[in-house]
Amino acid sequence: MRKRWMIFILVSCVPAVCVAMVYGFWGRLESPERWNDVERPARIRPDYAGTVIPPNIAPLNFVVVEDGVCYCVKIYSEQGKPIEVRSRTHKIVIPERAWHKLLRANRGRQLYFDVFVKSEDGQWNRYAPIGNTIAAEPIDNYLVYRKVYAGHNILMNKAICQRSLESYDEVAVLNDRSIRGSCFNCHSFCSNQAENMLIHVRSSWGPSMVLIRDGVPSCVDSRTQFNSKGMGHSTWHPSGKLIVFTIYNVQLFYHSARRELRDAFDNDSAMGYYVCETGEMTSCEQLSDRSYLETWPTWSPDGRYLYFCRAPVLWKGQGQTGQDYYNRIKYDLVRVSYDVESDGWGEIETVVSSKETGLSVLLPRVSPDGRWLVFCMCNYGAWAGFQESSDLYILDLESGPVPARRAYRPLGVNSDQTDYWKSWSGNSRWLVFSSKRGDGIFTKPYFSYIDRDGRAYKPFVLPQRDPAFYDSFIRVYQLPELVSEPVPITGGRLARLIGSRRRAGGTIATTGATVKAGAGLGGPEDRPGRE
Amino acid sequence: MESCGIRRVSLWRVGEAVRTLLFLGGFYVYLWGVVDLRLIYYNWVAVDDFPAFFRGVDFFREFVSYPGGVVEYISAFLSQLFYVSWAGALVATVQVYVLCVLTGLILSRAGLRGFRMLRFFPGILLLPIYGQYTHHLTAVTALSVSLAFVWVYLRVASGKEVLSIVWFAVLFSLLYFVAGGASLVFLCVCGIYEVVFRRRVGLAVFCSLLVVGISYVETVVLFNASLSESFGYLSPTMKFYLSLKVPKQMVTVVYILYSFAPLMVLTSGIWRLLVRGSSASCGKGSEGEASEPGGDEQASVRDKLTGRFGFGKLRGGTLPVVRWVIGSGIVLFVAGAVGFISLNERMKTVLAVNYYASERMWPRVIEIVRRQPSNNYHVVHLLDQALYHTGRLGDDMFCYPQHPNALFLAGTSYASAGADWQRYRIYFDMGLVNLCEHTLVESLEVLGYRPMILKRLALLNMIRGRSEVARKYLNLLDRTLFYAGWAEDYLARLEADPNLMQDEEIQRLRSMMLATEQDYSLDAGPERNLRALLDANKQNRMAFEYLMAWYLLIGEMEKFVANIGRLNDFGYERIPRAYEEALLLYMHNKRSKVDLGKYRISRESRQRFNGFLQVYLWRYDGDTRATIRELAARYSDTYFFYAVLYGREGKPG
Repeated sequence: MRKRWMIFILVSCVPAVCVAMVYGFWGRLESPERWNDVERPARIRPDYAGTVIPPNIAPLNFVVVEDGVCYCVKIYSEQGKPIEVRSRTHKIVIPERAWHKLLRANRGRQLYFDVFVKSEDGQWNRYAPIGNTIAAEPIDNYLVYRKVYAGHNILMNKAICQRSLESYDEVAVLNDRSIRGSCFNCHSFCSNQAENMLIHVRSSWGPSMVLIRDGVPSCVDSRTQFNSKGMGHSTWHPSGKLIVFTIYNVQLFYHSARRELRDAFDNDSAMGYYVCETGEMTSCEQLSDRSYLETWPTWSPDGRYLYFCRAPVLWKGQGQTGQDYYNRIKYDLVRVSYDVESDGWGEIETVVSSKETGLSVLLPRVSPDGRWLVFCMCNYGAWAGFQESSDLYILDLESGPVPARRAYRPLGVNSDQTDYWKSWSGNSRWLVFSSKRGDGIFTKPYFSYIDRDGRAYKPFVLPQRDPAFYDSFIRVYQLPELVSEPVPITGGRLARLIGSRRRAGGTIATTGATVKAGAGLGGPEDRPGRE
Repeated sequence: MESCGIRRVSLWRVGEAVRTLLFLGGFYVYLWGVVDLRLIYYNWVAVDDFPAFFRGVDFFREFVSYPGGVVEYISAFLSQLFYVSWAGALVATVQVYVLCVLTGLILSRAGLRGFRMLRFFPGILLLPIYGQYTHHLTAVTALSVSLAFVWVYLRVASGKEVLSIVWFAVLFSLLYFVAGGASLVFLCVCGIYEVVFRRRVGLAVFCSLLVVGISYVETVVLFNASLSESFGYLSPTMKFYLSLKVPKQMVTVVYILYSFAPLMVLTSGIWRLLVRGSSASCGKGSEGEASEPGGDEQASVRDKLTGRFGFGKLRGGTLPVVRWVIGSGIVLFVAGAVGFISLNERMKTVLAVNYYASERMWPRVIEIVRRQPSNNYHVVHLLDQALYHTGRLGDDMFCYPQHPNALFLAGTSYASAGADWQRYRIYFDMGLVNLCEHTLVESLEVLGYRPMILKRLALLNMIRGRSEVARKYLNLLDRTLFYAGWAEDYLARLEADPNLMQDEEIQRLRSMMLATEQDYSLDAGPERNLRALLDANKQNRMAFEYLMAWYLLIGEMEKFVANIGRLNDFGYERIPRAYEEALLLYMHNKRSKVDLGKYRISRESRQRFNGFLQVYLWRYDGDTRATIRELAARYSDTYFFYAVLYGREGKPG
């Protein structure tokens, strides 16, 4: 019996001794007590210096790009207990709970990172503090995006994911594993609310849209006689009663030497709208004019105007296609009024003309307070994501009447690489946008604070748990959309819904609103002479 | 007497061990020496889901977020060992050993101790899987784990029903998390066993309901996934396997593998019921009692079974060595026959050529094709590359089967990732960097994070001066098992020299790069790309030789002749043989001469052409078949013959 006890005690002691030995061998991570001051701030990656951050963002973990054997970062503000992070590696991982506590207590104040690096000779160096501002206004809690390889034709490993911005939790709303063999593209929300959502899916049994209305999902076959390929980009009317969508015949091609070798043009495009109550799909002349390519619709927050982009069709001769004109097509930003009660569309007004700017105007988004309109401009075409020249611009919608010239200016967040897709937070103070800055290939979501005067502050990249995450991440984040609540349906349920074939077919309206009734929507398949 | 019995038992065990050893030894040698498992690592034809593996917690974390992820993670690690042929064979052999042992234990438990030789059956089934160069390591690992859990359950859950249910629930919960859909095997075997051997029908039904509950909670509540997805994963019965582009017969083999243990237990159980039934009708035994096979009853069943299959005499006889020899002979013969029949030699040639091309061992590529001639376009495509790199494309390309589609793997039937993975190399070597990037990115999408693709992408971006992008790929490679050293080396070089101006190979490839934007899309066809490359750099020898080869293959003789003057640019000492033949054909048809500058057509080529003309034009007086037969016998390695056979414009008039 005594022998057994001895063995038990010995066995129990082994782990304790091991721990003690490891601890003794490595030594305890020490705090700097004396140091030399370095006048410049430490170089850190990602660049979290001089930015404005939301009070509810996840910890901004970073890598210190300074040589040393030991690192210590003190994070502090005016109020609350400072955080001290010590590390033997370049990676600084900030504890979540303490971080949130500190940010909550210091809304509207400065947040500082004091970076200490211990050199090989045992001397600590303290770099000049890195300052960031904690905004008073929070950002929407969730970011929904599509995560794919930077692929070209084939997209096999894709997922629509939902990321909590307060933490690092990411869940798949839909992924390839759930609906293998299907492709899902644009997702859109009604007024930053996830309970009204739409995802387009192209599966082996045809295209469809997964519609979540008031938290209830359904699957609608979006093919019609004028639209065999389903929908493209879409935008919800703020009332949630209708969805305007694009249909297009896009063609991808490759440049021989350009940095971004992919490029695309629309051989044809048009817009229509889906009435949620009746399940009708229809259109009007303003949305599908035969002599124009229409795309990128977005509603004003009051639902009275639909903003979209359109360009005249240049190729009218026999045998001509968009390929011959791809770098000469420039889109105007226009808007059309709409009365949701009478389903009546007004006249088209030009908001920003490509003739004036010399650039193609794309991807408009109006802030939820209705004051600001952010859009992209690039050298040509409809696909800003493939254009290095694509930058973001902001237009004050209260600066003058349409169609009079309005003041627009570049947003102060642009880089020398592609900056394009964006989404506003519900309180109009935050903008998330896609950018290829840094490497020119891999799109990442960046956040920027927009103040009441429409001024944008230095953007910061989506924070990750692993500070070195972006060093080896070779996928891209596409179509980032901010929403206040998580998507109410689990990925499994959505997959089951798509897998089941219980879908209601879209019907074609034959009312007077359908200007090309009988001939269909006037979509790609309806336009003779154009592919 | 007792010691004699013990000796016999130990001898029997030694015999079994030797037999197992022989089987495993043969299995290992076959996989290492004959199949060469590293070819599976490079297989882009039948394996489009070869798993990637990266060191680090973040990578592991992805795998614990869904049922079956743990097995997938382990398999991903083990799969990387296929990079080295002997290590891959060792992994496969250990896996077979585990399967053999577990199957043997379950067979014994099911009263089939006399049929323990059947434990080799799963191992034999794995031979065609590897022989066909498919990769089912994940499914087989999942099955092994499931069978291990079966064995544990059969061992521990023989007592009270409540306790058995608890054991079942605990084991299934764990197994479902670890092995996903393969846990169905556990359910089937345990269920059958409980019903047939232990007569606990209620318990089996209850456990089945428990499976539904546990899997629902784990999948839907914990992992936010769909049930069909999770059960489909790692299970051959669901859409996951059916949607893969693997040969169907191999999926069938996996089906058989999965159903083997349940079927054996079921068969044994039914047989046992029949035996007991007949015994009862004879007034023996008692009904309704739950009893497991073992002791006298087991021996009785075994004897009846072995007797039925004709082994009784040998078993009961005094010739255990003979029995051992016959048994072992049967196992080894069956395994050998299956291995021999199922080995896909054609696939092996394609993959071996691909492997050596990937390693840029060009003489080996030519040697393999010479030994085993193939008209597979992928093989021809790689052979042409090998001929170019050994300086023999212009001389020897028509010594082998050729087709215009093979040179660039052009045509819609080659719009696949496999073809992309083959094509990238010529684009890379020629300097068509954008097209190379396109093909590599497409390959990455379809074939997954394969280190060799990541490596090429890293190199390509370094050539293009995109060090930030290159670093991402290098950082990723730095976390792999076998490419970390290479990645570390280049990361250090980038640190010291961000533009790699000191790297001669990078500088050479940069000088070939098509740097000026062209006014056409890169997928417009090979001719425009090759001409653009030559316009950009007159010293791009590969672009020149491929352009000339292209013209020869499609019979564009005017363009071929128009470019023959470029020979001067590259310092050719003589006109390559295929070019001479094409020129002779052209001059004969046009009845004119071509200005060749300092070059002269060799006497051998002229003699060959005259001989060819004699046969083609005059010898058989219109008998096409006879003409072709003789031409094939004497001139099949000439451009003349190619032009005649494929009816190109250049054929003699």
